[in-house]
Amino acid sequence: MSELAIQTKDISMSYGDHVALDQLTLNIEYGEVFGFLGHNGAGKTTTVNILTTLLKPTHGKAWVCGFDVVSDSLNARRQIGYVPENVHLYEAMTAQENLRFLGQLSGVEDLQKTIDETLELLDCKDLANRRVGTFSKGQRQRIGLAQAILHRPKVLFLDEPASGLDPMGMKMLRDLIVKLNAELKMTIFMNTHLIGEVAKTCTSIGVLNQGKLVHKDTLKNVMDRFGDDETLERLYLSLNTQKVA
Amino acid sequence: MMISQLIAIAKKDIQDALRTRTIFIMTGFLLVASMVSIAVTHTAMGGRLPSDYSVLEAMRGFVEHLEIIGSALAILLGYRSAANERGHNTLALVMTRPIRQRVFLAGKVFASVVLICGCLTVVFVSISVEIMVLTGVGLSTLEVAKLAIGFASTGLYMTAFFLLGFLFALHLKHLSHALLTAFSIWLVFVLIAPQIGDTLDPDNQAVGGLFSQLSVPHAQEVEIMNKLGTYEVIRTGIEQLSPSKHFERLTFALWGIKGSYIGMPLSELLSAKIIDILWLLGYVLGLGGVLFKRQVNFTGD
Repeated sequence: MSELAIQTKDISMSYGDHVALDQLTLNIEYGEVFGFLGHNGAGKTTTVNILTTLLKPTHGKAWVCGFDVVSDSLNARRQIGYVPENVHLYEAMTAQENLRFLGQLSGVEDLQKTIDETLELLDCKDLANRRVGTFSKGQRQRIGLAQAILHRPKVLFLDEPASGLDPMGMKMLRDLIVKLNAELKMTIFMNTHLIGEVAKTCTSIGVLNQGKLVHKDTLKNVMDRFGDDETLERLYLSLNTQKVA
Repeated sequence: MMISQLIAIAKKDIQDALRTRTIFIMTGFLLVASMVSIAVTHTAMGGRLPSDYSVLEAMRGFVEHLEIIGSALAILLGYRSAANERGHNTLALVMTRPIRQRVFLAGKVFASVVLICGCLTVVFVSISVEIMVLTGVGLSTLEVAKLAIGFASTGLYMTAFFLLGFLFALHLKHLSHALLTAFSIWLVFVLIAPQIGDTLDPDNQAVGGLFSQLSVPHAQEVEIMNKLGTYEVIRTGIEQLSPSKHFERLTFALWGIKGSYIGMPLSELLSAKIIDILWLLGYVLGLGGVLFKRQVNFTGD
């Protein structure tokens, strides 16, 4: 097994003349909860799209659990779970039907038992037989997480998971991230703007500005250096207002 | 694993079509149009259906409904199959699973072929019963076989148009452009090209045939037509491009609508129409080839 859960080497992504991601090199170890900070359009979602095999980088290489996301995408996909910014599910189907369908695609064994356990873990058994189209944002987020962890991936990608959630929803999400990391030993890669959430859940952070990684460190080092999450916010703002060479 | 994934995708799509009643609406529409056309033909002929040779002759209007309505419904089915995934951004959800793109596409195509066959089964069984009730004549084994071959040809024809709608809805940046483009092509190949082929035929310029009206001897007719060689190549070329024309030629021959094929043994008839069968197969294989070859953009960027 590879020593790194996620590794990228000089990955770039261009759309015509626009460079969305510029030679990103990143190493994330197993067990980390990595917070990827950056303003809108910094390239965070592009990074996640590449790591989840949805996009092919125009340059460079990336691996998830040692599997190349381009040349060995099927094996890479077996290692990952993905929750996009807006959780997209089949609206006309119930939560259980969505999970059953996606579980079948992932080749989950003993599917019904796994679905029950997952819904139990995320405390949303009551949603099982309701149509997804009727769910609130928070409920969708839970089922979105359920589908992403159904096959017990080693790495979980969350793209702006707290976007649009109320304070209760954000607390629930934070608790779930900590739980998944502690109980299921998942490495978590989380795109976010929310400094407070990063300070409460992450073990390491990276800051992306105009497609370039401008800072990466453990949260402990950052906090030791800057003291509190308010100062962390100042660090983030200063890094994001710098012109990238 | 690949087979179980394919079945899971097909099952999901079929359940979705049943749940949203799409397939019921499509079947109902085609069924009503077909049954009305048979009844109208029967009435127009003073209740004297069938002719001496084949009860299936009553299906001329039905063929035209399949050509026009069937192909339009198939485009809508294809568009819907891809637009549902793109519109709800569920492509990314599926494609972060360990599934190959071709298995995903095969599952969706398989589901739609099942839905098309289901729709056609209801329509073909209903019109067969209608013909037997109206004429009071049962269908012979040969007629049932001809109906079955016609059923398969219709399935092939509709699958080609399903693939057209599906391809555009899957690959064009804007979904609204996809439907517009697919229907523009439909307009050209289903309505315009066959008409051009017919209206530009020199012999079709007068009722009963131009040469016959002018009492032109056959040898002279051949001589005139030889002078129009290039023109005829272009005219038939336009006609050949239309899948509707091939479908029409095949079914008209099969069901005895075109008189020269009445009484012809089935094997001989199929040999005579092999070009039309190959064209229909070619459309499906060509469009299927493009579908499975092209990389799908799963993020919508």
